[in-house]
Amino acid sequence: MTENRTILLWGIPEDAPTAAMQDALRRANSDFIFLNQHAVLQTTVELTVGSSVVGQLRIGDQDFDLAQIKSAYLRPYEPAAFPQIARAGPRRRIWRHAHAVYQALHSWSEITDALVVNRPGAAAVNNSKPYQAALIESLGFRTPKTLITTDPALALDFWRQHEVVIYKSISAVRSIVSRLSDRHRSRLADIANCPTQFQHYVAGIEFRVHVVGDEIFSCAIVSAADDYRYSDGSVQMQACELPPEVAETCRRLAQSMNLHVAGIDLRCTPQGDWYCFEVNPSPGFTFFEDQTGLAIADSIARFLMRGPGETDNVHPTRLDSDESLYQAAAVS
Amino acid sequence: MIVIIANRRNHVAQALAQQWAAWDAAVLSAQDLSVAGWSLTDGATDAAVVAQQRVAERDISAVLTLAPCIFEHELGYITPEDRSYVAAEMTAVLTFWLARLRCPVLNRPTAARLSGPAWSPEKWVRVAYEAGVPVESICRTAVPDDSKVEQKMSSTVTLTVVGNRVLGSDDSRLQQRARRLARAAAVALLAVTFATERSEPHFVSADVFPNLSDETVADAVLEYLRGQQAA
Repeated sequence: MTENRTILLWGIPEDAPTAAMQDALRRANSDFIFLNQHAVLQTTVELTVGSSVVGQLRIGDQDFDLAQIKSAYLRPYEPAAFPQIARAGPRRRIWRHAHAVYQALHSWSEITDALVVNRPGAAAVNNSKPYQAALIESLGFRTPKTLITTDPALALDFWRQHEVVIYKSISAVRSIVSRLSDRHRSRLADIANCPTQFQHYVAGIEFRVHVVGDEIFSCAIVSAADDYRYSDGSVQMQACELPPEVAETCRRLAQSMNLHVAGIDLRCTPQGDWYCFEVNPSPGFTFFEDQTGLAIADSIARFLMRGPGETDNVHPTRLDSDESLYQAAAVS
Repeated sequence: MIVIIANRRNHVAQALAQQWAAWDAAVLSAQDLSVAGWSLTDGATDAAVVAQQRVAERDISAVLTLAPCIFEHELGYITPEDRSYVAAEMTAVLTFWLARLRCPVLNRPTAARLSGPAWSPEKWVRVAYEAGVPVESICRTAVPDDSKVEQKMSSTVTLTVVGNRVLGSDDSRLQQRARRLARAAAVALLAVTFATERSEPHFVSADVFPNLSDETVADAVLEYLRGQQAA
């Protein structure tokens, strides 16, 4: 049996985490293949799956044996995210080929024995934030009181009850977390068109935690904005240590979701209660790395260079998170 | 009430709702998520909207899901630039709701799909292989102007797993393999297709949305939903 040797990066060069991973692997003198999605017409994939998973990836005039890939770091965009592909439409060659390559590698990444950061099936866990929140709670973090509704009257009741309330997307589609204010009153009737998620505002210090395998990188964030990612004012970040039990819960959260790398949003109240808002399966870690000096990319690079461990659940048939949720439902 | 989650133009779902009228069956479609009445908080006082009517969660006795997600094209009444977002939000709500319902749900959702796992054909082959089921290899090629997915098969048989029952063949060996695959996928409703030209039937594909226009399958599903209720 030939030893696996190569690392695959799949994404686009202008994506900051993907660029950071290339730099980190170069610094570590590690071999890697960069599959640039912009070069999709120069990319072909052949994948055969039966009693084994074998195949070839060709980029330009270079051939790579898929069985030789020991680790993969995935940050691909869906083909429709590329304007030239979206404009072309399903009848054009570039559209068809971009989707075929995407599907082939997506499929490979779910079943390969390589270490994959992160498998698409595992990354789906935040497609539904309340679904994810149920798992978060079952592992010991608090989550905010939440109402999902299409009923403006119920939303108003919830607002009155909790006084300070935010609203945010329910799915993985990124939205700006915003506080309800008087200017929203006249628009509340619109929620009848689509269920909307309201949460009581939790005051406290914000933390962003990156889990890389067993390693934890955390920073405290100070910002006056409801959503520091979109703050007009200053955002201050500082690397910090988490209480050991909080760090351990973060590790367990990532593991239970089969995420080798995860970005976890926490807030600690003045009373010392820890709330978890979200686990991001494809974190844009460079935003935090740049401001704190935390060496997250180097850690991910070391993790990829190690390859799959004996205990890695390389192709789970079902997420632990799914099972946990069912058990939680069954006993509630 | 038995709730059937489906596109409102899904004729099979509408026919099932009519056939199961005695059990107060109704179709929940995307349009029902655009009606005031949904309320998901603590589970105890929660409510959904089914066939445009508010329904208390405790009055729902079983759910059959016949859609993988809410699609943008179901939302013609939503502003075009918002359809993609609204479809994702509605799917996310249903995923959460279905996952924590205490009544029987065929199939339970996963994070990736409203009904069972969202696996590629290759992943099904791998899961079958790892479950000890002989498999027909699948070959996917992504080459400009020549992309294809190939699997050898000339004659096939499809079995449908509904809970502990397996329909479509009396061959106990095939029944056992179909059950094994459903167990590996943690689903109670699954169509499993085998290639039969060789002496040893080989797994070809699986589908979490079996043919429910087949009366035998539909009857078994109803029996499962009602039986599980009673249990």
